[in-house]
Amino acid sequence: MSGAGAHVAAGLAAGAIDALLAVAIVLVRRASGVVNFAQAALATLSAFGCATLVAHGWRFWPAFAVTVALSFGGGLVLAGALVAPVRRGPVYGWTLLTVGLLLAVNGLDNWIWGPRTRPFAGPFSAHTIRLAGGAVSRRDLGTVVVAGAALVVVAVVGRSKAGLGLRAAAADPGAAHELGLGVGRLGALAWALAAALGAVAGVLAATAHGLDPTLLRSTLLSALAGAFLGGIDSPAGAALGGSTVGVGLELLATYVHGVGSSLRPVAAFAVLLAAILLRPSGLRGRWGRP
Amino acid sequence: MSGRLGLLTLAVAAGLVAVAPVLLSTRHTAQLAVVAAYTVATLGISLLLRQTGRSSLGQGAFMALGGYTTAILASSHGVRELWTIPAAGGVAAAAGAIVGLVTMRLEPISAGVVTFGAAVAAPAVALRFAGLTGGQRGLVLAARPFEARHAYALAWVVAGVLFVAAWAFSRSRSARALRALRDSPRDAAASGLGRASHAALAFGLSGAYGGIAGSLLVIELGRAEPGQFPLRLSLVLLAGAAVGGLGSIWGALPAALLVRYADQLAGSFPHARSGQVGPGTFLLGAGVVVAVLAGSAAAALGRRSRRQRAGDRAEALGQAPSGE
Repeated sequence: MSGAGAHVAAGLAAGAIDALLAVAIVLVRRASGVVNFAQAALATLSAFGCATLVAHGWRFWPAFAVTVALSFGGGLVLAGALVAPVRRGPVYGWTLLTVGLLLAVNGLDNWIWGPRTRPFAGPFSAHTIRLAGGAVSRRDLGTVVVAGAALVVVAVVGRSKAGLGLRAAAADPGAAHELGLGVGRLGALAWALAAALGAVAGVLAATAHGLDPTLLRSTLLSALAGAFLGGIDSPAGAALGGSTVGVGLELLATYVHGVGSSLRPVAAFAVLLAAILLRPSGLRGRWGRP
Repeated sequence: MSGRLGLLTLAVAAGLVAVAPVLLSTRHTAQLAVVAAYTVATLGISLLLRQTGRSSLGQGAFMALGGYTTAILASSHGVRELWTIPAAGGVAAAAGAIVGLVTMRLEPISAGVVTFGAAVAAPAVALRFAGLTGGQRGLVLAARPFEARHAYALAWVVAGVLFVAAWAFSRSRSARALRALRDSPRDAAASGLGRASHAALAFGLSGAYGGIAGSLLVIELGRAEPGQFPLRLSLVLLAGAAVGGLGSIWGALPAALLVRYADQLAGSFPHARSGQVGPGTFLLGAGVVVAVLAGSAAAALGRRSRRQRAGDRAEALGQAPSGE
């Protein structure tokens, strides 16, 4: 039974990272109507930034805080520099833009830091502690706690006046503009929050698996599956969907004969397809929409 | 591009392609053969992007489908390589048509997400079904491999034929119907255009180009492995299509050249080591961002100048410009 507990904990840790990325994707998607395919690449860039600070002798937590703050600022800059100019264009311009951003950022990672995987020691050790009758690694536990805290912060922002403005701008940009809300500025806030969440996800994933430019590439797929499963318009749904997919894939890989870790992307793709086709607005999406 | 200039460009390109193997070493000839396969794949992306406004992030998945069709038929069933090309195109076309039918009712962005997922999943599928695909080791084509020059000629002849086909298609009634569906779906559907059949047609055609490209690639390299069709391939091909004129079929050849030689082009960047993929990938990605931004700036300018022209015309007629 202790084995099962460890697998659930590992699944929850993977699911927490999926959930962070899924919420980031949903925030951007609600604000700008676009899926940011570069979200995982930007998160990986943030993780490289944090690792560089640590390599220069910083302690982990200050480096982490600075990374998240810089990523927030970077999200604002991105929204201003790239997003505003193509806002009125066709969707394929958006998609191309984020794919271009993905390649550019990934290329930059490879260029500066090289393709090899480097270890990144986080604040949590891999030692196990006994919890609820099972052995759980401190790192998995720490990952879930940090990710949960980040999601709580975003939820608090969502309940604030700015969050209300975000939802209003997402629901009806025209009306929100008429009411005097800065729709463009609220969109930039969404991109910045998403970049900050991505930074948390990137650093957590790097401390668990080591850091290289392909760090979150397959995580993006399971995060997308989680986002569509939970509701592409609902951050809470995306958080739930992301963690469900993470736990589900881990248990599937452990207990279903013949699935194994190599089929993980295929399973994530299957979940994504099923979610998009059966319930395009997600389990928590608005009902009765075309 | 106007008819005469286009014809001239085409003639020059064909001439260069024809003399290249005489002037270049075997290694460079082989590289240019890969460019032919990339050109075909990019044509498929461009057709879809231009005619439907949907971006395919999964051309690599269709290439894998076509490539493995060729490898399985040639290595396990003894079919001659040449005859596996139409089979590869057919299988990928069927898969593309299914993707088109399935994603037709979704928002354009969901179609992008589905194709992205297919691109991530494709190499994993190839690894998993090792009995069919040879797993990590892959499949090796027949004992007598295609001579490099023959593979080169075959690939470029196929690419030329498919370019002309794409050009003819983009001027056909079907393509007009697709553009009408792209620009005003409701009006087009109201005037009786079938969305389902056209979505299947556009994605099927794009998939067929991908499948044939994958088949050519496998014939050129003499083998099919999962590593030949990574996610990166799908993304850089889309990037090439974007840089080569946001989906213009005339941009397919420059796009394929750029994708194949981006790493060499970027080799002189500061701190770039040879064999490193970073600078080239960065170059492609930055190129896409610039192309999209320039494209939307040009579109905005175009709107304004059209409006100005309309205003000028109205003034010339002695009327106040309508609208703004």
